[in-house]
Amino acid sequence: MCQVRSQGLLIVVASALATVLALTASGAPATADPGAGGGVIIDVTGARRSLYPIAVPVAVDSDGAAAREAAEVASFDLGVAGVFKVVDPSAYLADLSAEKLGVDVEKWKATGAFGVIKSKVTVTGGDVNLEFRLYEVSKGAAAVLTRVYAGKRAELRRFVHTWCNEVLRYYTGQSGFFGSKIAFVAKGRARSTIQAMDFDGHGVYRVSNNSSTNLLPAWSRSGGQIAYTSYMRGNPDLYVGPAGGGRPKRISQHRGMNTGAAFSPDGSKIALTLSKDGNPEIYVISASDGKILQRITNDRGIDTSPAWSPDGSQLAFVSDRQGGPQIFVVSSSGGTPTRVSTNGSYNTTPTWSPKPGTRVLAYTTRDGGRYDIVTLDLATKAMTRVTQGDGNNEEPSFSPDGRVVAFAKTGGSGSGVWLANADGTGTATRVWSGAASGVEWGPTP
Amino acid sequence: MREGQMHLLAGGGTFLLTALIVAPTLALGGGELAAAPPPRDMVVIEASLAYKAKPKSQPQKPMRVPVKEVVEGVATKPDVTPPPPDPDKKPDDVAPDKDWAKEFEKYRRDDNPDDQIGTPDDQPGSFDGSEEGFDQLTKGDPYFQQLKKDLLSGWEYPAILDDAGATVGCLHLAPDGKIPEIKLHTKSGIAELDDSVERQLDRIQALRATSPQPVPPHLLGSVMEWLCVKFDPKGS
Repeated sequence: MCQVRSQGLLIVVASALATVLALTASGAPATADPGAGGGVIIDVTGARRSLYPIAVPVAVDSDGAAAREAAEVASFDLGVAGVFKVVDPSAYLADLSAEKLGVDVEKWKATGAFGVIKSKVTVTGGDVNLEFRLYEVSKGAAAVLTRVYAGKRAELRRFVHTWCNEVLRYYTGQSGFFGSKIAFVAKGRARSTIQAMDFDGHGVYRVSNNSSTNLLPAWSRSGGQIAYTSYMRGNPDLYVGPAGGGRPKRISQHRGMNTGAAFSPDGSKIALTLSKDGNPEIYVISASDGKILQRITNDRGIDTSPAWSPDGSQLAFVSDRQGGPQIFVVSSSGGTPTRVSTNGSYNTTPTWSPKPGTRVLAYTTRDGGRYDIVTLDLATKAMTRVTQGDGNNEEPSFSPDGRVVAFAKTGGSGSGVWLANADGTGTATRVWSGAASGVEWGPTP
Repeated sequence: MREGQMHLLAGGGTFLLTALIVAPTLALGGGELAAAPPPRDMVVIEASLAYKAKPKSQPQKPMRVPVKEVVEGVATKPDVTPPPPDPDKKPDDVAPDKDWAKEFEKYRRDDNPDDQIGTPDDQPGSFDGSEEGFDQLTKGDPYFQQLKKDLLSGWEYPAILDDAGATVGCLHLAPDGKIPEIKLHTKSGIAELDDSVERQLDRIQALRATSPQPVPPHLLGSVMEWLCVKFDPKGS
């Protein structure tokens, strides 16, 4: 009897369960209490993946000029990082004076911000003290990252760059490029000089100091040296000098071209173009004394612009061996090159993305009479336009984290050195104005 | 008398009696047969002899015009004369009782995407398990299509954040189309994702406050209570 009752109970329970499941699966009308068994009838999938909205208000209760400078540097850094979107200050709803270093979460949410950076900047004599706090409004009013920097007032920008690297690392787990430098050629009427600056265009200084033509700078892996080609002694020889400027050392002086230097990832070698035998070919020389270690190419075409892959196993270069200039890749120990660029008839100045686990090149391509920057994923063959329809954009160079590309623009929105997201999103930013070429991004300090 | 003599006497008597009856008949009828009229005259005689009687009728009920039964709720068309057959139309040469399922089965492809249409996924009450939606409530209803579109439109989730989760939020849809109440039903465990859903619910609440879309009468019974939405930042 007891067994029969149990079976009957089981049947009732199973029937009830089946009914509930059937109602749920068939999208039963919404329930009075959403907690009482489902009521989910609409699936919304595929949010638009956006940049991370972050607010960087000017510090209150601080030294005014220093606080504004800190906010400007941080806003610029995060704005060009490729992952953040700095919230327009005019949208702020919070009472900054009342908040001080804290946040009113709901008011910041209402502005659309996901993150908020608060700071306090104190200047005492020639010293500066910066206190930074990062808030994620979804996690409440407690700071998720806090740092304090103290030093000379002149170091304020460096401190802010360091803080922004910390913020980027907090979100992505990877270091940023804030505080890195960019070298380039400033083209004058009678001469061109090698110059360098912070990546944000601040603190431009001359690296070469001669009245001749200087070309194609290349950073050493440590960032302490810059190699460049100079006509200061008549022949286009290769020099290596201190990145901060100073007397350079001539390390390659073969007859003809000694151009297009690129330091190997371990810093011990330099790939370059030599035309000592008449035809420009790719060679690898010692970075210390310029001794030729290996000839990489041997073709009747012109081979130039070598670029090392991040692991040092391959070299990309430009060759016209099949007609117009195209991008080829060859083993850094030599061998048969493989053409990788297939778009158009003119592709030059390749550079590798340093992003780990990727095989991506950026280069200059001619399209409809204009020059633009594109990236090419060698694994998937996917091409991405970085620039389009705004002047001529040439000679790309990746940021140390591979997210951003620096390049030289002529015409359009203005000649100079520009930065743009390597994935083609966002808008480009000019960091130096003037006639520029040979843009080369240095390593993270 | 012996038995054989008795049989002989009975047979002879029977023969004699038969002869007495048949002989005069043959003598009288044999002349008439020889002078018989042609068959046509026989028909005339028979016709003249036919008797035509009025048939008797059974008592009958009065005839009534049958009343056409009309089923409520079913549209009916007035009786019309069917159009004449189209002389250009080719005759249907396919047997009407053909097994079409079997016929088309031989054209079936294993990778036919149409096979997936209408197949519910594993999400309970999923709105769009197929193009039309298998949900009986929301099946292809333009009102829900618009609501879903509004719920997705403007929903942004930063790319650098974790997207391995889904948040369920609910809204109370009033008959006038406004949304008087919203709430998070099931959190994803990712604070930023829950936050983005909350913002999105706030946004659509504000949107429908300024430009409400009244609920169609046929959906009133279904949407006057909590309506829950599952937000998954990943694309399908």
